[in-house]
Amino acid sequence: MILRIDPLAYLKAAGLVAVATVPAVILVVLTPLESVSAIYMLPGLVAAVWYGTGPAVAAALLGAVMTSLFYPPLFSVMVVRPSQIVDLVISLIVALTIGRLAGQLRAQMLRVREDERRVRQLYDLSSEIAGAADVAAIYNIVAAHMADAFEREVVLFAASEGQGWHAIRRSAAAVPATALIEAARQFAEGRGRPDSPDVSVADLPAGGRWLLCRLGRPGPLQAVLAVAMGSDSHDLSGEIVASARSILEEGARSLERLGLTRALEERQLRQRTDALRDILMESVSHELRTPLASILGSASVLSTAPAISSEPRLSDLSKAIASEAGRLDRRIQNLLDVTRIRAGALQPRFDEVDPADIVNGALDSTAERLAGRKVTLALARDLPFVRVDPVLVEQALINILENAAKFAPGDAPITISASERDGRLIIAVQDEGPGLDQHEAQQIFERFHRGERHADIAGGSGLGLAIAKTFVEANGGSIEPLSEGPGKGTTMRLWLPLAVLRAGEPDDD
Amino acid sequence: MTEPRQQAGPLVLVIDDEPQIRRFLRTGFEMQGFRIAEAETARQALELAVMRRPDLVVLDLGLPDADGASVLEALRGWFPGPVIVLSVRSSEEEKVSLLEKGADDYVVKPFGMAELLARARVVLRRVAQPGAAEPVLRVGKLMLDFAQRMVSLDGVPVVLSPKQFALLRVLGIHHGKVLTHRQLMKELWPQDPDEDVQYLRILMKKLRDKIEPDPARPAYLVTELSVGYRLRTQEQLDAAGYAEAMR
Repeated sequence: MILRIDPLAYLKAAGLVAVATVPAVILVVLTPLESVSAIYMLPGLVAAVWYGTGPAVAAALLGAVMTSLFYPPLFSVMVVRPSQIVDLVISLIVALTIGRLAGQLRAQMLRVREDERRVRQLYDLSSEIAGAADVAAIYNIVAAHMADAFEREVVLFAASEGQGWHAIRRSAAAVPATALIEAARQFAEGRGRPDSPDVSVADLPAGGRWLLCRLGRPGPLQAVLAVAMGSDSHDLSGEIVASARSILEEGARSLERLGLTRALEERQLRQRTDALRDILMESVSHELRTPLASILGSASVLSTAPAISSEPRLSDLSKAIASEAGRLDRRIQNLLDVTRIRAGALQPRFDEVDPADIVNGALDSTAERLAGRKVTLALARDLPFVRVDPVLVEQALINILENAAKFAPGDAPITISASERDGRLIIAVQDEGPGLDQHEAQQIFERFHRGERHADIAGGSGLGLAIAKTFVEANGGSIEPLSEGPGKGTTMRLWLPLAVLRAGEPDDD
Repeated sequence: MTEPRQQAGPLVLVIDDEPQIRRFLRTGFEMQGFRIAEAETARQALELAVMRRPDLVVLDLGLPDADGASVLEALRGWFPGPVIVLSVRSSEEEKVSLLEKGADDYVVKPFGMAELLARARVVLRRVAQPGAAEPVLRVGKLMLDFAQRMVSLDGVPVVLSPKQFALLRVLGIHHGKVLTHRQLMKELWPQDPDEDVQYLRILMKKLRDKIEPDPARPAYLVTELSVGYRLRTQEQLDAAGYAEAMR
């Protein structure tokens, strides 16, 4: 509440005294009254309740003067009898005291009302905000409340995607001045500084005074509210700032709550998705692979049966069933791997391993498919250990070897080499297949990509290399395809991070 | 292969809820002279194991009424014979935990009968000669004389450090079986089994350098990635058949 001298209130208080004079005159005329001092207490009382302490005091004083007029001789301010002096003094004291008390009561009442209004506004604000579904809605509600609370123009600024810093809501139709936009932006950017306040005042050369308030955490989601203060400086009292702050706090709390709710919802959704994916993976791998295991197992039993193994054509057929079942199983594995990658469920279990073990594991797994080829193994002696998930890197290497076997002619040799270079380990798989042109070298790892020149000779889903690349990268490595050009063969080069070697060995060599 | 020994062959208890898988296992084992008992559920399996005392258990992990690992634990309470686990391509952690709970070996589905039979023979042979009763172990050109603490390649003695010999010896005692990193660490560093696995890997590298014909492509001491190591038997060496492709 702002205390100001209001001349009108004093006039009205004087008016009250004048009004009280009417019954006083009537009473004096009708009945010989000793004193009308009681009547003149009333204006003071009423003035106190209506206009506050100052006007009440004035009314009491004026009432005392009027009372003295009614002592005989009538209508003279001369007070002669002692009893009249006592009466006058007492009535004046009573009137003043009552006036003071009533004035204080009124001030208290006003404060209570003001508080109540503010509480109600905040209550409305928070209940309105509670229904807000997103950040923008909260900003708008807060801005609307600011405008209501101060009965002034409020402009809301925010940086939204693709539009930069701009006004997203304004109560007035006029476009905010560039100077104001600039001031709001600077205010927003200055918020990272520890000394930057959450409320500040901007004086614009042409646009008067603005109260700038911040809403939300620093970052792309924060907003600035500008409240037009006109040019009168006393409106910028602490009270406006305080109520602005309470509105902002409510908004900030809601924003935080919204963030938490959002995060919670996302986490629950993620958990549900994860659970669903696990169930799906489980069921796909079980439902598809169980019959496969029966097919492969049965074919492997058949191929050893004397009746079939003695008959080359039948023996070939039963072996074909087994090897095709194996191929189908690898396809399913690829699908499962892709599902894992897409779901972001790749979590490498890092270990420090001998890279030769990984290469040998991959060779063992592909022995059947590389049968009949000359495979040359060129591992540098004393290779340093690598820090990777050996199972993932082995799978990547298997896919690369299969790819080489698929595209290179049936008897073309494959060379696998490993060496240390520039603080990393290189494993290279070199084939003498059709090679790659520039465009293919870029395209080769894209999902489902298959070189068009090879589409006629290669089966497969084209997933193998895409999976290999993702697996290697998940281990902090990289794959680069190298080729002299079409017809010149391809080298796939894996770069892997080295393990940190520890000094000291337990061996007693 | 071997002569069918209709009644005298070892008894295999196959525990699997898939009838098609049991069918080919039955045929495959019987063709090789084994006798077969079949169980579809964990309960049935445990009852049969008690009643029939099989020489070998083949346990599928995906049973309807119980977790395969708990069946393994229940069996291990009293059953001393070998157990081979059938699992889908699963996490290496699971393989490690099964081996440490007492499985002798695992085969990943889908698998060929030959692979399972080879593993079955290895574990059965180990039961027949517990604790490396054979004083001398031979595989390929490698000879390991437990009693004399001697190792030779192609008749030429190889000098190993005590730790290297200890590693080869423990793998030789469990010839053909995968030993997990932790199992090996416990054997080699009994006071400090939680020591860094790196030590074991470096030790293995040095041992291979001494006894492998081509350390880049080990023939005898093979790695099961993220699980452990195995010393191949002659049969496993022949089955691997990689040598002709390698130079």
